[in-house]
Amino acid sequence: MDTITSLTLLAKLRDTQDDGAWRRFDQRYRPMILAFARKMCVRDADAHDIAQEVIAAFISAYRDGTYDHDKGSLRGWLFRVTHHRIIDARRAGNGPPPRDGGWPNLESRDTAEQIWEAQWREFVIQACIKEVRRHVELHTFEAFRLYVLEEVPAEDVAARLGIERSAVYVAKSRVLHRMRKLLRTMEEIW
Amino acid sequence: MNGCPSTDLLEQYALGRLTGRQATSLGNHLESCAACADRLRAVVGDIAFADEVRAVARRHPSAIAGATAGVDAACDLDAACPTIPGYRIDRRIRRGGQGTVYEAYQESTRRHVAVKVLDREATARPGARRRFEREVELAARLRHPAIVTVHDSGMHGGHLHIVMDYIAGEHLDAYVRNHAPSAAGKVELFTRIVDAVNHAHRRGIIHRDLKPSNILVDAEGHPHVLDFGLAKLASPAEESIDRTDISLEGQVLGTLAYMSPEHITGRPADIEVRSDIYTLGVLLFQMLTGTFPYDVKGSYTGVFRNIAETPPLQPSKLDRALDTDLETIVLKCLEKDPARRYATADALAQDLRHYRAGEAIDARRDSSWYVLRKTLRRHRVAATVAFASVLVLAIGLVAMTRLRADAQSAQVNAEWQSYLGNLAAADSAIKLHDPVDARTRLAAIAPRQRDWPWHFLQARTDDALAVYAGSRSEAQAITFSPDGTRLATSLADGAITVRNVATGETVCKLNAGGDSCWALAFHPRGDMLISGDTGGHLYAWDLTTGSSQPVSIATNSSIVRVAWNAAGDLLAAGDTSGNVAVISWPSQKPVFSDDRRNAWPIAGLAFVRNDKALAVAGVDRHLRTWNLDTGALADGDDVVIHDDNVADLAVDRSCRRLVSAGLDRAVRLWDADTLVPIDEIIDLPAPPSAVAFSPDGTCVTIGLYNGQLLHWRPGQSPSLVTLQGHSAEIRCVAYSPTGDLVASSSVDGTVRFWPPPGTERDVRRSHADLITALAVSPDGGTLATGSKDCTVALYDMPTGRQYAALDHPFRLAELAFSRDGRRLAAATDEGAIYLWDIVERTVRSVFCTDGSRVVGLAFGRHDDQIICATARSGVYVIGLDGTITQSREVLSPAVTAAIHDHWVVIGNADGGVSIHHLADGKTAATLPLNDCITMGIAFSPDGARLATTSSDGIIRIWRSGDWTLERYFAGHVGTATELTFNSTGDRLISGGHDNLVRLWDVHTGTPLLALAGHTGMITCLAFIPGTDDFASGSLDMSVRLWRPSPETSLADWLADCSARRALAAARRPAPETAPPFEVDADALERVRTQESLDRATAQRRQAVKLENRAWNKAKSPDLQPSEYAAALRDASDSVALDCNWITLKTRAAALYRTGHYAEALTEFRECFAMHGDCQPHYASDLPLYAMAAWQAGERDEARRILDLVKHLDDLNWQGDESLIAGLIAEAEGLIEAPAVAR
Repeated sequence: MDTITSLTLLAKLRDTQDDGAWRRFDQRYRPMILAFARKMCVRDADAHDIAQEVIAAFISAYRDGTYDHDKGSLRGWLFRVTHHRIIDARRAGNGPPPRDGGWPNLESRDTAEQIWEAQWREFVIQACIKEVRRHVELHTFEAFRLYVLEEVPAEDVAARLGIERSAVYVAKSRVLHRMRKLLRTMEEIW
Repeated sequence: MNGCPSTDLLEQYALGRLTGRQATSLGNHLESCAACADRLRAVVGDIAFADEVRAVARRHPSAIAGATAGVDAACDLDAACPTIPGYRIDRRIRRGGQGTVYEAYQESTRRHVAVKVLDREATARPGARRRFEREVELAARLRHPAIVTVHDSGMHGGHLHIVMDYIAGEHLDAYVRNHAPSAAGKVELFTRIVDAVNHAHRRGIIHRDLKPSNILVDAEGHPHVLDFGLAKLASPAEESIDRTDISLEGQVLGTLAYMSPEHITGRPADIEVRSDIYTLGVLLFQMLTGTFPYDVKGSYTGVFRNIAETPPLQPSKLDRALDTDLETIVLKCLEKDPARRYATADALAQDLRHYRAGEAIDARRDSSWYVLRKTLRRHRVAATVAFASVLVLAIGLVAMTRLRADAQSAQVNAEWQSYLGNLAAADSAIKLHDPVDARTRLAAIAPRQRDWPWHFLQARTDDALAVYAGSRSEAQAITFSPDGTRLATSLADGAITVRNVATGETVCKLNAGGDSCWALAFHPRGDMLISGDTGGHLYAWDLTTGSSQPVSIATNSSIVRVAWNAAGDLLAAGDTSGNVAVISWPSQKPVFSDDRRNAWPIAGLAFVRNDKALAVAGVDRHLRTWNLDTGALADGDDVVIHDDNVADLAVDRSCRRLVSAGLDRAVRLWDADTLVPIDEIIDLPAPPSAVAFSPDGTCVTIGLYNGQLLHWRPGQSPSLVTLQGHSAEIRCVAYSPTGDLVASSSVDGTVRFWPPPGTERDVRRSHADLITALAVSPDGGTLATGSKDCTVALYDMPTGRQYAALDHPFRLAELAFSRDGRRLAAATDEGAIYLWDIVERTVRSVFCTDGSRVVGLAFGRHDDQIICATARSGVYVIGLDGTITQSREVLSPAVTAAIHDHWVVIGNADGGVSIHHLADGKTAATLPLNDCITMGIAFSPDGARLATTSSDGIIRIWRSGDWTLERYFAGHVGTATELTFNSTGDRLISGGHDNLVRLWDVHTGTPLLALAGHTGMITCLAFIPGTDDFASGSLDMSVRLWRPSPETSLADWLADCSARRALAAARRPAPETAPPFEVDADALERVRTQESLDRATAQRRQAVKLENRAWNKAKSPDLQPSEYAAALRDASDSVALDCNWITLKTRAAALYRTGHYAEALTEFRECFAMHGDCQPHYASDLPLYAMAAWQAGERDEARRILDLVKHLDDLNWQGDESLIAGLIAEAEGLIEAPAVAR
């Protein structure tokens, strides 16, 4: 379940009996780290290394008890560590940014953090879409998908799904509403 | 009151889509209605949010994937039977940890197979697919009777699948339980399993997941081991398996129970051959005692501890009847310390054999007393004490010596196996475009072991034709001069080098200061170079003097792109702040500038629309096409072209098409006028960093961030050619204006030159039909290729350049060089042999044999004779003085032949292989080769060995003289067609229907390399004397040279390119006038002079043309009678021009189609008699023949032939499979329908 809170997840990590927690943790956060590293123009192989190192660093920090959720969000922690690793990788000569000046300044924390935040939100939205999809009627979601995501005109969507045009609007607002609500929650809990 | 507006209307309003009056009235309403104003705010929020969600959904289609499927079918994807093209899924066999196994029917081969469809989970991780492909690649090389063969793999519907043999059988544990074999039976069964594991280990593959459910035992009691090397695919981290994963993946305890201590304690680096040995020990223990060596039923922790620490039970405690030797063997496998186990599966198998033979086992060899006891028992020697004491001494010595020898051979063996493992891994890394991994694997092979395969693979890690190694600085921009002779390169330190492309010499060095230069462009006239640098300067360099002048242009930060228009009177530049400016040349007056989008760097510039517009790609994903006349940007001219930053933009020579590269891993082709996408390639293996059009516009070459270069032909995707060599990101790609070279610069500091698309180094495509013969002169200086297109091409070695084409009136069948290398014998399909002087390039003589195809050809030992074997089984010894002796009676048609000093070996159509004395033609021996047709025969150079390859895919090595089978090994998938030895007789190459050329170690039968490249069956092979290199010819009409590192310079390459063009333009030069022929009255009759040779050639070509036209009609079942009548006319004309088995066959088909059944039947028989009816060419003729027989009343014959053709196990024949299948279906419709009715 993607709606499990990071706190719950963290708590479960402490429970050595619950092996699924680590897997879930990895599944949730590794893609984010990878995508961020790629956005920061890190080469693919290095990005994988970085993701591996960050996850490993978190696991050991968590096990050592040096990670304290009360002192900062998981999101912030992961950003700091990932960002450092990327800068390290760059210093190690593993590929400077292409065409200097062309890309976001890697050393600048603000730029990097903006990218990270945008990235984070993107993943949360993705998770939201998946989650909402699971909880609304298939036809409602399909109407939403066609009308909002594919931008098919409402009358065509109605004709294709055999529903009233008004139902398309209803589907749209219902899904969007749910999604926004869920998004607020998930942004807090991830 | 018209009331409050609908939400829909509010939305339209918010989007600005409402027109004047409607908008005004709604605006008024909103001012007065607070509720609606709130609603509007919500709507605006919704729109923004929907935009965001839409953007995310587009970037991550997986988030909504499956939603549509749900509406249509509302089914669980995993539960449904998958569809895989080419296979009919029949039923689900079982569901395992990694995926589901189905029984399926492979349509192309008509056989039952098992298809394992992996769960998405198993391969969802990044890189998993690549790893999967590599593992399958490795596993597919295993050919062993006790290993389930993997045939194919692929991806469909998001699921990876593996296709393997379908084995009906029971799992090992069930088999032992149900059949209760004797102890000896169990050991025999187990030994076979060990042999299989050993076979895989020798090829560098460790199973890692041996367990009873991975071993199937068939009805005959033969074991089949499944899933070699595939186990680690399921494990998440590269190779580690830790506790969490085991429990998480839902792997049953069963798997855990078979794991070795080093496996469960998570020391992945320690998992090697000996881990499989341990698992084999557990299996043997279980087979013998029915239980495990320790308790495996408790908690995980308990089981882990037991495996890691608890000593195994003594099997003899569980079964008192158990032999102590067998117990020793089991316990040696189960040692906790890998070093104390058997070092190899081979050693274990040896010991099992010793045990079964009642000999001393190695596991105990440390005790001389034991050896003696064992030996005494075996020989039942009633020894006296004195005798025994002598024996003790003697045997002690023998045992000591043998111990030492064993240790040495074990070390050699271990080295050999590690060599093979590294070689196989490097080979597969190259095939998967991972040159870095390949180089690592190759570096792991000790220098003294580096032989031909090593050098060959090493050369394959870099596809570049030449490398200009720069300084330590990164190479940036590159540009060719308009005439293609010079290349300008800039480095990050600002130095610009202009080089002569062909020689690599530096023409001049330009340096304007310390600023890094990122943009370069030659003026179309070629005498001036423009450079742009990080200081924002633009310089014009006079290449004759090396002096520079600053150019003033309205940009203000680092210049990243410059571009000329084709006429050279407009220059554009773009910078990192998004400024673009165009000036006229040479006046340098501003024409256009855009500095309003001061945000993102420019990624590319191109003049389009007849120089009336400038296309500008920005890193911000936009492509803007500015009108240079008005300086404006029309509405449709600003488009978002990628979902992520744009990296580069290129324009083709006509300025009509643009190609863009984006970090979304896509390259898109655009119409420059309309900005409509024409084609795209997505999901590239890494983000693209640079793109370039080939001069003819047919190909786009893409440089990637991982250093790979791809040739992409738009409209023909996904035909990508990958070139590897750079070790880091490619910065810039450029084509030479002649199209002969591609250059790339990289962050690794080098500039590399590559062959353009369609030209591969060491591939020759000079024939217009399939290659039938290859011969290399004994000095290795000339390679000759013969083809069905009636020509022989001559190549100069080692440059590999073609220098002549020799025309013949007939299709070529065989070629042979004289020992002095001056003469070439070219034998044809019609039995004529042309003797060429290849220095003069004239025909010296023509000899005629029996009019059938020549299947074997060689010069006699003293160059005074030509020996040939024909399809009608004649063996001819032709003296160059004109005497011809036929030395063998006609038996059955010959398919292939090999000739060596005293022997002629003939492979017959009925499957037999007979060996004849050359002197008298008497049969010396026949080889026991039944049930298969021998397709290739070769003698080792010293004549001591004979190798054969057959339709069963097996290569057999026979000893000359007594003709006994020395060894055999499984060679190719499907039929192996050709083979030949190298000059020392240690290596063998073979080619097959699988389009691969394989290299073997003759002494062990070990496959060294499988060389892919040909796209058709291999038809001929030859080693190049003096080297370990070789050449292959194929049905795909190409000849490939296989060699490590061709010594060609760029100058050679360029000369080659122009020579190729010249040869193609001039057509083939006709041979010069030949002196009168010396011998053979018949030949003189037919080919009196060079003119008649030419006339015959023309006649022959006309016949081929008519025959083709006729066959194209006659092969189709549903044409109008008039069409068939035309086909018959054409076919008859072609027979009149040139009567051979092909024209006859076509006329027979036409006769059948026009209702002349009896005549058709007679003609078919005549043509079969001419050519031996097992030839693969006949796959398409047999159904027609069967139908003719049916219609002519010969019903039994018709059924027999149809049955034959349907049960040919190898339908991968020459020719069009769908055509053959169609003809078979047609024949079935005709022939079997009445049988069913009856």
